[in-house]
Amino acid sequence: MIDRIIKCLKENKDLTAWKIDSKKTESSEFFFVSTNLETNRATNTSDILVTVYVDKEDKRGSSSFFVDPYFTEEDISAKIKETVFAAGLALNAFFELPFPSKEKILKNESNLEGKNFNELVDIIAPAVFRTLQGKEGTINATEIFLYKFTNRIINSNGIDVSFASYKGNIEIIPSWAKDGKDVEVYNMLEFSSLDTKSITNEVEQALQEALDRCNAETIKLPQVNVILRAEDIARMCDFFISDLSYGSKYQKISKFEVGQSVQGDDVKGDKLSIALLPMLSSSANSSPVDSDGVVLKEIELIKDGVAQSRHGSYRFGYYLKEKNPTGLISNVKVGLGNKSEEEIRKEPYIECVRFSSLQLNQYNGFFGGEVRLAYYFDGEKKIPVTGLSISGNLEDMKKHLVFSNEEVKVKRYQGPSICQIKGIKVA
Amino acid sequence: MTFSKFLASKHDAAKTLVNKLLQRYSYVSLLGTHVTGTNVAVMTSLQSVSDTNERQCGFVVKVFTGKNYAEYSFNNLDVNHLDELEEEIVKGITISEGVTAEVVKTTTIDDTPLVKTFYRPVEGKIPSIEELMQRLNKIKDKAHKYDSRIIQVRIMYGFYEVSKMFISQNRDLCQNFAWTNVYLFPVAREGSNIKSAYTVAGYNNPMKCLDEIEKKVDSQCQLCIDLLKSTFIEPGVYDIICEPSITGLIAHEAFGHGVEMDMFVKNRAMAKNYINKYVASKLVNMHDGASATLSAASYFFDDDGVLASDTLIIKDGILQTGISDILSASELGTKPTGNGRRETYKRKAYTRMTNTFFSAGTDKVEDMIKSIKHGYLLCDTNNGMEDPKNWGIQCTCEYGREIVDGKFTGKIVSPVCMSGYVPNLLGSISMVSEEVVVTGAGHCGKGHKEWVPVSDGGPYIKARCKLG
Repeated sequence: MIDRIIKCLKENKDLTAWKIDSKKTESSEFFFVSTNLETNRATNTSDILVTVYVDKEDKRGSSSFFVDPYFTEEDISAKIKETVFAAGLALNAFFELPFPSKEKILKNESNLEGKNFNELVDIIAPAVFRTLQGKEGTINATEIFLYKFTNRIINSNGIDVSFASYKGNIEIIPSWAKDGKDVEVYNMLEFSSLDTKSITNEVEQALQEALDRCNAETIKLPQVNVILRAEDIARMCDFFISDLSYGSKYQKISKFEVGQSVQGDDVKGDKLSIALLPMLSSSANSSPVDSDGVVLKEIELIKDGVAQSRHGSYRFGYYLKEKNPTGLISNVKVGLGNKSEEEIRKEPYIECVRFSSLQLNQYNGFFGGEVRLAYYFDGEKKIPVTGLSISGNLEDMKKHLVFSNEEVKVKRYQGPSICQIKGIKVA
Repeated sequence: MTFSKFLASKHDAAKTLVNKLLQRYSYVSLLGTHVTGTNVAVMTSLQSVSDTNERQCGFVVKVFTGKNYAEYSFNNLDVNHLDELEEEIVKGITISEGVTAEVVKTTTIDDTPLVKTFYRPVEGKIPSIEELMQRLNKIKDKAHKYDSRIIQVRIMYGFYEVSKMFISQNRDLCQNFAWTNVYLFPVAREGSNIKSAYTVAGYNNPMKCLDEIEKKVDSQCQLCIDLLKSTFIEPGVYDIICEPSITGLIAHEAFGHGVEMDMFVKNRAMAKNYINKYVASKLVNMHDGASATLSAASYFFDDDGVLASDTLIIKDGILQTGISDILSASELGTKPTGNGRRETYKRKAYTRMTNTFFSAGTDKVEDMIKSIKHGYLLCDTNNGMEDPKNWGIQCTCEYGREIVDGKFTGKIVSPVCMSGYVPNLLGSISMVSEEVVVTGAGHCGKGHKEWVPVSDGGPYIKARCKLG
């Protein structure tokens, strides 16, 4: 199919450039109610997205279409013609497409490579359910997804890169009933390599959190420091990462400038350091190239509170006259702080463990959400609490971030295990 | 607009495949889906035209293996290679006996004979790409002329046409319909203070969507400017008036997810224990259904081949029933309600809401506002998250307008998070306005995945809730 598409693209004389983004997805999926299988599924599907570019005077227009599986050569040619017309109506400032790179393309290492996914459930399901032995808690629902993606990106400048990637997701809903209370905690595990021991540990922890939510009290909480954990630190850092994108600058909504402090003057807490990593062993979003075919490298975005560079798609990088636009990178590395977890936990705090959905407004820095499980430490004892929400503005809080010096890797995040924030409102 | 030629051309092959698989399995169904359409976006410094985000083209087969249900999703159905496809399906869904040793108990899926074709024509004209580019650019220019502090404007037009074909031993159903959404997002900036607003119009009528959005440009830009002066709310418990989108957010997120009956099967819903009990004030009546109103989630049959319905979930404050997909209904021994929906043909069908809304009451909005001593009018959905097991609320509104002694003070707070316990909120509803507005342009996930188009709404309601 790809060869036929390229042939049709080359035959159309009205377009000036093109890109093909092809993804084949193979999956095995298993759905359990309690420990009983309800449904199993498998998929074998392909998606091919074609983008055509049309130049008129000093402008470039683009438009894209998906190639449906039944398309004949005539269908493809007709769709290209239609899309070229649309591209001519959607003209923007000119931008170049990326060219082939001499950089070596890293391989997405995964122990899922070459495995029969239908057989892996025989070891994954027991790794989840063995945690229930000897416990009063249950797992009400478990969904296991195993994916293999085969990607190929080609453009008219000569880029032609292929790579495979693997992803596993396990959605588990542990539940605990006690003294008339019956509560659950939502969890989505993610991995690119299978480690059954790690799965068991994560499910064990989730079950403990279900028990803690069951024991949690709803009390009036004082305004004390708030502690966030890894995934929520990554979410918080998205505020800075998003602002330092090429697109944010081009669209005039960026507040920070390269060379200036993103935390303002007189930083009371730790100075923030953020890098973007193409490959991270805990992340299922690792990729050696982005969707434009740009070969990705680690980017130092913020160092000791000062913005070092911008990042983003090749197109917006071109608009900002960047020599080597970085491409789009998903994984985040945050610099460690100076205090240990133990030191940070000496003062009273509320440690947020499970949000229903932590919200961040990229424009104005609003940050908050409903907390379904937290631990409140009053200086002497720690108790689980629920029924609270936190809210604040990162613009106000960014001077007061204190990071731990212990490092963890969780999904797309590598960095301090916890972050203490002052000045966030608890209700 | 007509039923997909691609699916029509595959009808006989699909029927043959179903019959071949029926030699192996006691229940077999096939769903073919073809969604086409166009997205056009015009922003201050960019514009684009592309295929719709809803686009999909493929098939999913569901079988009962004798132990459990199994599914296989694929792209193409070639009449000349059905034997190979059958082999691929069987291989794909065959798993070890260890995994199927303990399965969920279920009854046979109802496969009552039905052969029918459904069609809902688009109202009014479908604009060409040229007309759309002109119209969206006009709207953008109007927004920028409103105030120099409007630094970015984004207008997005999305039209999609859905064709689905469901074939089982006894059923042969086809449906074709379309929907249009138009979104407007202005962004205002004053120094480093940046605020955004948004509005949406969703109808089975593209020109009506465009007309409505164009009419709202000034008010949305003014809202954006007003939000520059907004502050955070002082956390506390307040009397609130919810405008229809927030009423819909409460109906959908706070309560609706909890009556999705696949959650009953998984013991994940508190509502299971509240059937025929009060869950809200006597003023509350709540519906869900693809045929309950014409909106973004209106269809003729669901992804299980079950005809759409209108389910009365709460009547006079008492929980009547939940909603279900066919598999959950067969596990619970209830009648499916036509709420089995897939994100795409690549994903499993779950019980999903469709058009979810509270019914009208008898109060006047102005009387509701006058009745507030100190509280807020909450407006425009930002997001929400369900908690069906524990009935916790997380609903975030874009902004609230302060009311003191029955009058607006001019103060705006933004954003506003509602939290608390669902029955307390629904039980506190003390006034319900006369007119229902259902907005159909959003998407809803289950947990953090499985996104499907939904609508929600209702009248203005007065209640009491914790805000932060």
